[in-house]
Amino acid sequence: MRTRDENKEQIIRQKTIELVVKEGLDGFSMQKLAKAAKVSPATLYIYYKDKEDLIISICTELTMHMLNDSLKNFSPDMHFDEGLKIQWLNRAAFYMKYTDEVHFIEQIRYHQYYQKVLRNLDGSFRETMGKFVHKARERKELAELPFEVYWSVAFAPLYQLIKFHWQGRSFSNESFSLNDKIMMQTLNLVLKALRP
Amino acid sequence: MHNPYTIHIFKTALEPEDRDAVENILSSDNILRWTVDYEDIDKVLRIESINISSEEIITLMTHSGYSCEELI
Repeated sequence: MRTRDENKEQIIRQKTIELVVKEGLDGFSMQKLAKAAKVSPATLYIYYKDKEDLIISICTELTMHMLNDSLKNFSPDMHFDEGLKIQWLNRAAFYMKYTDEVHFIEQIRYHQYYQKVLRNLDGSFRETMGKFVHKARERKELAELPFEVYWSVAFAPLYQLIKFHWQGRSFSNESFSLNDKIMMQTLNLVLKALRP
Repeated sequence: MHNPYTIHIFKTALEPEDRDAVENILSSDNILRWTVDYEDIDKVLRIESINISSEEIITLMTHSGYSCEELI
């Protein structure tokens, strides 16, 4: 009889994230993970039935953590400018704090596993953000735009700034570090662009 | 987290085409669920069961001609 051990489960999750970020999903195997986590392969199978089960379960948990964090201090009833600001601050904070975890999710995003991760999410985040956008449009705080156009303008600038930050440089500067002033300067341009 | 069932883990040489045969061998009320990780070199057979020992499962499998040993 084998029993679960939360400590071990934590180490397995951590090592999975590290290995996938370092070597990609194709280079990852249960055998390599067992070595890295210093557990027997049999132990891994107590928690997960195979690689797919392991990756999907960890990715689902991380994604839920990320989405829930982005809703901290946020309400869908907020003025659009205020709500988007909170979304930016929350997302930036998560990306800075959980860099490995974010890179792990990025590795999975373009893999067929990701569809299963999406199916595991309960839809509450989607619903909240949908409500936020809908109300902002009703109050004429946000232009009517196709979803992809809205999303790209609203969030992609933030993610590009974070990318420059991670690279520690940009195309024109030898060194770059993201700070609140730069983030707010960019956010104000985004808000201006999204007004009706 | 508490599991009401026992998990048994074995090293095998099973292939996807053995599925139906294994389904027959393991069709017992004591076996709740079983999966094989075909991607792994040990073709790990994972069984969630109640009231059945690893030895009994190994006997069931090997008597039907499938290699099956406890994975350590």
